[in-house]
Order: sequence, then structure tokens, then C-alpha cells
Amino acid sequence: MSLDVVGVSIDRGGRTVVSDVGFQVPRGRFAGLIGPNGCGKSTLLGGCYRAHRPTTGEIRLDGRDVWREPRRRVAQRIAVMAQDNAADFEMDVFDTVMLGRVPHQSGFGADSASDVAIVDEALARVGATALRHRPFAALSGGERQRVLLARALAQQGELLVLDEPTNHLDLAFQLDIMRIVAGTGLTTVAALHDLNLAASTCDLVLVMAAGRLVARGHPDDVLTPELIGDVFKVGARRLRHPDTGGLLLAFTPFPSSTPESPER
Amino acid sequence: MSPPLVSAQADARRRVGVSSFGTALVVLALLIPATIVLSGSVGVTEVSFTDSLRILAGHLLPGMPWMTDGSLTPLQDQAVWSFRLPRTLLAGVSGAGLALAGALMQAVVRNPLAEPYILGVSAGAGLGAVLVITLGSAAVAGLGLSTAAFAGALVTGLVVYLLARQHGMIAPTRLILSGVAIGSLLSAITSFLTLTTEAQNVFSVLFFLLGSVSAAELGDTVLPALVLLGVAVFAMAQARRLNALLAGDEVATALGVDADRLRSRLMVAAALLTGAVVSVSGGIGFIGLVVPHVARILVGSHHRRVLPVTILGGALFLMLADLLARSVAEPTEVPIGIVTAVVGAPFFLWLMRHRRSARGGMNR
Repeated sequence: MSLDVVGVSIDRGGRTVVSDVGFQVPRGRFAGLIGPNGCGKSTLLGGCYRAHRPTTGEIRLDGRDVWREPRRRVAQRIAVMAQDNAADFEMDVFDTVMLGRVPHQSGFGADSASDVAIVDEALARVGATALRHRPFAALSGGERQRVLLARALAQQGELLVLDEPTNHLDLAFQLDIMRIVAGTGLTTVAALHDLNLAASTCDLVLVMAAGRLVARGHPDDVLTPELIGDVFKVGARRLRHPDTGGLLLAFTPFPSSTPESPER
Repeated sequence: MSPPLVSAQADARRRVGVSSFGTALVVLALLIPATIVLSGSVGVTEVSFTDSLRILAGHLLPGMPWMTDGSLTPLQDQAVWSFRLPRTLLAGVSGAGLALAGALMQAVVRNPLAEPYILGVSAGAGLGAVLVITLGSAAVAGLGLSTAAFAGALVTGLVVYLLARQHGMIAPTRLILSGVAIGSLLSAITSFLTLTTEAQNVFSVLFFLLGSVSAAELGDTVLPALVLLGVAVFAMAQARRLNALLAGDEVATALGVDADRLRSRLMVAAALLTGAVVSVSGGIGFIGLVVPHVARILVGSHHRRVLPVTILGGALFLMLADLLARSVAEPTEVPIGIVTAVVGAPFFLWLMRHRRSARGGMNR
């Protein structure tokens, strides 16, 4: 399914956090949403899964505005891996992943055998089968991320929305998680902090700064030293990966007293 | 695929809480009727356990020979059927209602310390009842004691609800804070009324505020029982959404749950249920806080398992508390709220220190 974001602005607490953002993610493509902290990435993603209502604009899935569809229907089509998962009450890993089935279940009664099978398959895919009985709150940060990804997979949406999926993850699992997500073949939008991870995984990158979309396109075309300097306030050099030939970025701190770009 | 699937399902049954759920239900379903019969055999008028069973069965089933053969005295029949059964049933309904309301409020504000009374509902009911006791019905438009208490509960619940709303959303922290503030305000008025009233009224006031089912008639249980049934069905239908709410509003939203609407509805349901119980039985404490936690320790946090165990466990706990309330200092009655705390607190603390409490989320 394709995602169309058209002229979207979102206010939070009386402040415009996302301002007139528009882009398209074609069916089956992996889009990386990048930008410094507080640039509006999470809020924009929240607009897609109906956590933050846009003041203007439309967010369309295959042409249909998610804010005019029934909530439950949207949750059946968009699977979300959010940043936070409250754990004030103990829930084990299995029940946590089973929450992904909520949009598909109705009425009283136990979880069906197919729901159980879907949850187990999701756990197996992220390599968390062994955690099945563990309390969610007792997991390490990396284990939690795996379980939350499993929950998103169990949700079986056609669009996958990931808010900083590689937070707290060790290197191997960062690469692993990107491979798992890419392997689903689903249309994906992921907020990412690691530009090299974005460069090596994404079909397109969307760059946000101060609530606006400042660049979009193939990582090779978009991730220039000038743009990175403007948006992230760091110096950057473009290298080639010796083995894969892919784009590899190396960063240096900006001299704080130098107003102009160091990449001259 | 099929061998791992089969083992996965067998595994699912062994999971924490899942296997104990069936056991807990069966044990509760057996203990509750046994307690009702036992309760019929405790009191000043001597009735054996068997005779209590015979009297109860005789009233429920037509044509039982022992009802007419003179083996039971009218005094025994009256003691069991007209006095002990109604109060036991009211205790059961009240316990189930307060425990369920507590479980719902804990999910609504996503806080393990929540209980039904954080809505200020009991303080409102207390004020309504104390107005009637100290100033007479005329002071509250001619309402009877429990009607005034119910009205006080609902008005207070509504005020707290409106105070907690902000931009059309119920903010959990505002809900707790406004409930506590309004509750304190109303309790202060209640205390003032109690201190300035004639001495003979103070006993009635204390009995209401601490809770009692001693004067129960069968008719008293009807309203709380109906509200309990309605709220229980509603809550069970929302069990999965309640789980989603525990994971946070954003997560719930992403799962297609309208967190604000669910929270509002649950709050209204909990306030109605608490009001209906408190207006008849008074402010019985401790049960609404603790029974849901005991249920979670036994069967895990999934609401589809927690809610039935909470409802039945609350009923059993308050029935047993009532049994103690009228037998420990016989013939004097102890307010049931004192018993729930005196017996419940040590039991709960023991359970909390027990190794299985991890599954109730108490190791943090």
C-alpha cells in the first residue's frame, strides 16, 4: 500500500510541530525519516497512526484519508512500533505481543489458535521466542525493542510505522532489525537517527528540520555534506564502503565559532 | 509447521497465570456457595451447617420435605433466610462491585495505587448519608439515606470527571488530583457535621463511613447487583482494550483503541458501580485496592483473566469479612470496613512478599 502525506501540519500544546509536510512512499518501499531531536518526526508518525490529528492536510493510505476511516480499520492496516510502552502493570512478553492482535479481535473469549500462531511466528522472526514467558518490564532495552517489533509484526498491517526502532540496540541487532523489516516487503516509514543505517537500508530518505520537510529522495542524492551541515550542525564527509561500495558518512564536530560550512 | 505449533499451544497453557486461571475460578465457584451456607449457620440463633443448607435449598426448590416436617423452627428459618442470607448476598455483591471498580480505576489511571474511592465517590456518598443522619431527610429534599448517598456519589463523580477533563480528554493525573481534593473537601464537611451533631447520631455516622451490611434486606441488593452485572459485562467485552490501555495511550491508539472514550466510559461505569455499592453498604475500604492486585498475583495482568477472578474474589473476601464482623465480638457487630483492613492488610502483605508476586508487578 502506498502512503501519501499531503500538506500536513500538526499542532501540539498550541505549538506548530509539523508544518506543511508532503511526501509519498510508494508501495513496498522503505522510507527513512531523519532529522535532529525535536524536529517533528515522532509527531508526524503519530499523525499516520491517529495519535496526533493534523490541523490541515491529509494522510492517505492507498488514497483513503486515515482520519476519515474507522479507527480500528486503520489499526488493521498500519502496524506501529512506538517509542514508549508503559509497564506499570506486569505483562509477560506473550501478552505484550498479543496486543498486536487487538485490532483484529472482537468480543469475549480466548485468543484463537491462529492468533497464538501469529504471535509465536512474530516472536520467532525477531529471535525472541526464548523470552516468551518473561515479564516485559524485566527485559533489557534491546530485548524490549525486539518484543515491540514482534508486536508490530503481529499486528499484520500493510504499512509499518517504526519510531526509532534501533534505540538501545547493539550493532548486530540494529542490522538485524533492518533486515527483518526489509524482509517483510511492507511499505515502511521509520524514524531513524543513524544516517549510515538510513543510507544503507532506505529506498528514500525524508529529512525534517524544525517541523518542515527540507529534502527527500534517494539517500545517495540527499545526504550531502551541505544538507547534513545545515540540518544536523555537524561536518560530514562522503566515503565509499570498501566492500559494498555503498555510501558511508563520516562526521566531525562543527567548530562552533565558524558560521559558514566547513565543506568548502 | 504443525509439531512446533502443537508444542507452542501446549506451552501457552503452561504460561504464567493461564494454568492457574481455571483453578482459581473453580475454587472460587466452590467456596462462594459454601460460604453462603456457612454464613447461614453463624449467629446467636443456633443453626447447623446442614440445617442452613436445608433452609436455603428449601426456599429455592419447591416441595422439600424438611420444610414442612417440623424439624426446623420458624426462628431458625427466619434467621437464615431473612437476616443472614440478605446480608451475605449484599456483602458478596458489594465486594464484587468494589473490587471490579478498583480494577477498572487502576486501568483508567494506569496506576497500581488507584482504587474506587479516588473518584471522591465515597466521600460524596458519605456526605449525602451524613446529611440525612445529622440534619434529617428534609435537608436533602426528602431523600432517604441510601438515595441521598447515591446522589452524593454521582454528583461528586460528575464534578471530578468534569474537573479532570481538558481539551475533551481525561488526564489520569488530573483525575487523581481532583478526586483527592474534592474527596478531602467533602470529608472535611462530613467530619464537621459529625462533630457538631448529637452524640447519638455519631454511631450511625461511623457505621456508615466504615461500612456495614448488617441491616441488609434482599431488596437492598437489587440495584447494586444489576449495576454490577451491567458493568461486569461491559468490562469483559472491553478486556483486550483494557490491556492495550495498560501499555499507554499512544500504544492503545496505534492498536485502534479510542483511549479517551474508553477511559471516560470506564470511569462512568466505575463511578456508577461504586456509588450503587457505597450508598447501600457504606465506605468499605481496602477491598477495591487490594483484590485486583491479589487477582493479578494469581493469574497475571491480562484482563480477561483478572476481571472474573477479581469479581468472584471480591465477593468471597467480603462475605468472609462479614462473617467475621458479626462473629468475633458477638453479639456486638464490628463495622465490616475494620475487618477488611485488619484481616486483609496482613494477608496482602504476606502475598506481596511471596515469590509469586512478581507476576503482579510488585517487584519494582
